[in-house]
Amino acid sequence: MPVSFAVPPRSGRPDPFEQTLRAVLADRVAPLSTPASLSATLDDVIAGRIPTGHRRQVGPSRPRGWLLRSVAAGVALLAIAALVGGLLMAPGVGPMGGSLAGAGGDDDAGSAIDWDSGRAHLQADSFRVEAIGTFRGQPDTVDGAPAMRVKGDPGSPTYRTLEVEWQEQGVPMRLYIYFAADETHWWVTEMRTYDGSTRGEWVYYHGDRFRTPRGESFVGRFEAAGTDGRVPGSLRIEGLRLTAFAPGTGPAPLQGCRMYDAEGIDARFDLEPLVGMTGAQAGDRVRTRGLCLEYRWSYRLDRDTRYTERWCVAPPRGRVSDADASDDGVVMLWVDDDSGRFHERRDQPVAGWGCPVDEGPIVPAPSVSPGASIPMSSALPAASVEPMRSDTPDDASIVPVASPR
Amino acid sequence: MSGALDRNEAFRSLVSTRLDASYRLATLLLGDPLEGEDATHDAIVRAWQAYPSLRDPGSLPAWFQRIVVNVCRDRMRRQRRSPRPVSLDPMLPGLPVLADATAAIPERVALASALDHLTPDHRMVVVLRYHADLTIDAIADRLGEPPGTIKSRLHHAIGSLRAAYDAAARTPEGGH
Repeated sequence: MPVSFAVPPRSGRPDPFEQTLRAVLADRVAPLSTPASLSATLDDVIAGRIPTGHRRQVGPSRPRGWLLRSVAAGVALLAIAALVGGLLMAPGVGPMGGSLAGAGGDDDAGSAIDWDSGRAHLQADSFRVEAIGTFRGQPDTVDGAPAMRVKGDPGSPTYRTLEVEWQEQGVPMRLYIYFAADETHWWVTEMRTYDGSTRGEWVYYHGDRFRTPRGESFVGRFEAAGTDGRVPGSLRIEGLRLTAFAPGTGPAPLQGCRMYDAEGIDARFDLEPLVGMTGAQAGDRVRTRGLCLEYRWSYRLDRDTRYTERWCVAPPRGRVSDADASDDGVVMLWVDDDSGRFHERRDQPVAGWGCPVDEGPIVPAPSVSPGASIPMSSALPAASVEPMRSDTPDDASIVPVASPR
Repeated sequence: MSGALDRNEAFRSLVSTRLDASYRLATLLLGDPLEGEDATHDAIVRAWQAYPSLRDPGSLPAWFQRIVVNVCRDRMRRQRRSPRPVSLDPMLPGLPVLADATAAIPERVALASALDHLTPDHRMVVVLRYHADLTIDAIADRLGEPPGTIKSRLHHAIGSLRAAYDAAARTPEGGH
């Protein structure tokens, strides 16, 4: 059957649509100049100063621009709130720093921390980042409250994050930890911190580490030099206790997924016809092929921002905008809400809507061995012999706030 | 030894002349200058790792562009798997708003917005076609996909963009 394509053949007469499209694309990058860091990277890699076995960013990519913007916005809001309340004080004075003790760098001691995103939990007797200054995870106090946020990506049965963002000594700081897991173990694939600069640049601590049986916490210490940030850095954590993939904190693995459907056809094949269908229609097609399935349902928060939720049953509204299959054979359907309304962002259940929660392995009684790992308290016997629970899918809690023009 | 140095210099020379184009391409694909910078960095490292296996230095421009595109594609896929807000800001973050009065033309605004609503695969073929100016066959080569798939994606993507463009042109403010 002949197919006509919307791409018109080139002819002598310019197409105004094409001209406009080229102009829009050109405008977007017109103000950009190539960062000097890229030339430096080229020099470094040829000179062998960047170990090519370790890429600068080996972990899951983060939308850093969004983070910088939200951090900048958050800091700005905090500053405005403090100014309005007449409480803002200069960095280093009064309430601005539980962190200021020892900030001069002559004190090697770090500070105790306890950061829990609900999906991963980091505790330590002593935490210390050394880069452009010394940072101990002690947030500045702004408007009477610590300038800190601990969060994490809901992730998947094999991936999640711990993302700690705070302001210390007047500059933005970050600690991001990326986790991975298989059926028997979890581990950290990358850690990174900010370097203490005003702009906030990453220092990376590459490498897989802390491999720990599922259902247990890692206990030990960590010390490493950042390899390829724009400035050298180091991270030292003493009395470290790290917990991830704990029972009840994330999605259960989907069972029996494979890259080939019941007829031996690659799961990624023939997904494009699903675009435009409802989630339920597309889901039926995928299930008919005997493939695993997840949804990502996105709705508008405002004109410029969408928020995406994980669903394991068909979302209530919208059409499939994209479909793809992961390497582990899970078909992902992106469904865009088409109600034409703006909604407020809401918290998701730990595993997403309608998704089974990972209740973890049934483990024997705890046996603590220093320097190794210990069972998580929530995985103690008896407590885990319950049927899998899942959160009831519901869009009732989505609050429409306005309608786009 | 001299041969190795020559080869290193050849790599430096060939890649350095493509840094600017690669950075811009990556930024357009990923929608964020910082992501574009990171992706270009990764592409340089990956290219250096693979450089010993490059038999034909004459193919380096396409080879390096293929690496940049693939790094960006990997990043786009990982980003999509993470439920989180996605900026649809038609202007790139941190960039000055262009003073060009033509930027306010409704068709351009509509097209910019529609561009942000394309799926990653569709955005990729549009950028490679209309920014990098690649042919269908060249896009297929960079993405490792059949030309028919590229044509199909471009067809759907351009259809969406043209619909937004035409709708804006039909509005009274469209001015045509």
